[in-house]
Order: sequence, then C-alpha cells, then structure tokens
Amino acid sequence: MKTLVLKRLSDEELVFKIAATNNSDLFAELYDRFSNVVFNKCYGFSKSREEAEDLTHDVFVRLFVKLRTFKGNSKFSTWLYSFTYNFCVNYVQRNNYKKKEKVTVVTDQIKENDAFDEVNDASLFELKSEKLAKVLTLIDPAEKMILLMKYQDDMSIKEIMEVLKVGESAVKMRVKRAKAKVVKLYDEL
Amino acid sequence: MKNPFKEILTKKEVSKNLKSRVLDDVGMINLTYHFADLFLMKVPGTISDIYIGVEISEKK
Repeated sequence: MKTLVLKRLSDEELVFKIAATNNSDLFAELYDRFSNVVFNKCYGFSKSREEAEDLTHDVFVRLFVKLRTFKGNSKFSTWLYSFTYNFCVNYVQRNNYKKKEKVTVVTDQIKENDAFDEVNDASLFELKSEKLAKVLTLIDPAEKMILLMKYQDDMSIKEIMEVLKVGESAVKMRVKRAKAKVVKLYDEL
Repeated sequence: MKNPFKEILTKKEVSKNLKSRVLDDVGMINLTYHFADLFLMKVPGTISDIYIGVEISEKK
C-alpha cells in the first residue's frame, strides 16, 4: 500500500519529501527510478563498468546531501542529469590533470586560431555513432557534457543556461565550438 | 532523422548490490545528521535551558 502511494508521487514531489524528512526509504525509491539512467550516463565518461559503478555510487551519495539545493525550477530529471554530468566532468578533469602533472611538455606551438565554421545539426546527425563515441572521448569533457545535454537529453538552450548558470550567448557559443571541434576531429580520425 | 548521440547512450543495467552500498552510506550520513543535531542543537539547547532556568529560579 505504502509503495503504491510512493509510486504515484511525481519525481519532484518525492524529492521535496526526501529533502524535508531525510527518509532513506524514500531515497531508495528515487534510486530505483534513476539508477540505470545515471549509471549509463556515468558509463559514457568512464573506461569500465566498475569505474561507472563507483561514479554512480558517489553521484547518489552526493545527491542525498545536495538534494535540498533542487528548487524545482526545472524538471528533476534535467537537474539530475546536469548534476551527474558535472560530477563526471570533474572526475575526468581531475584524472587528466593528474596525468598531465607527471609530464611537462615544452612547446613553442602557438595556440590554434579560435575561429571555427558553423556546423549545422543535420551534418552532425550524419556522423556514425561508433566514431562519434570515440571522438567524444578526445574532446574536453565540459564540451562533451554540453553536447550530450543538447543532443542526447534534448535540453533547450534555456534549460542549459539554468543548469550551467551562464548566459544564452555563452551556451550558444560553447555548443557551436564543441560541434566544430567534434566534426574536425571526426574528419581527422 | 537518426541521432547518433542517442545511439551512443548505453542501455546497461546497474548491478543489484550497488543499491545496498548506496543506502548504507546514506544511512551513515543520516546518522551523522542525527548526532550533529543532538550534540550541536538539542543538548546545548537543553543545557542552556537548565542553566537559564536555574538562574531565573535563583533570582526569584
């Protein structure tokens, strides 16, 4: 009976109840609803199943502490995806930083010109998924995150603005830059 | 139109034992909250109530 009532609660109602009561049983219900989605998102940022499970574990534990910061301005799923992405991006960047720390490369190479051509969505959708997956491992994880938000989770520019807390032009510029980089790397592979 | 970004999303199932690991840690966090509440809010509140109560009754 109690579980039937729980199942009828919307995601947002459930989250507000957990935030108010810290109830572990309610959190277990939230885990059941989202664990596979979060796991598959984490899997996209990790190299193995074990690493993805560790990330999923850490995301849910951190989520329990941070659940109060969800204000209901967007759908909970949208908020959770961005929470997961941010966690994964931080994890990957921390690991990359550690690797780079060990090797110091001296270079005179001047940074590549930041100019890039506009890539339309139709040509982006023509890319082969296997090769695209490989390219996404090569670009900056923050750029990967914004592309996944827009094209995998169908988040609007406004939703991305809200979760990343940046302006509209910044979001559009980041998406444009990330798309250009993906296409460039794709052609080079 | 097919979207390769949706195709790269895996459809794997998370292992069953992860839930108990998560809920154990959540339980531990909850316990920490309860202790923090007890020792930082309730006990000091009670002690100050006792002392202030004693001071007020002594003044009377």
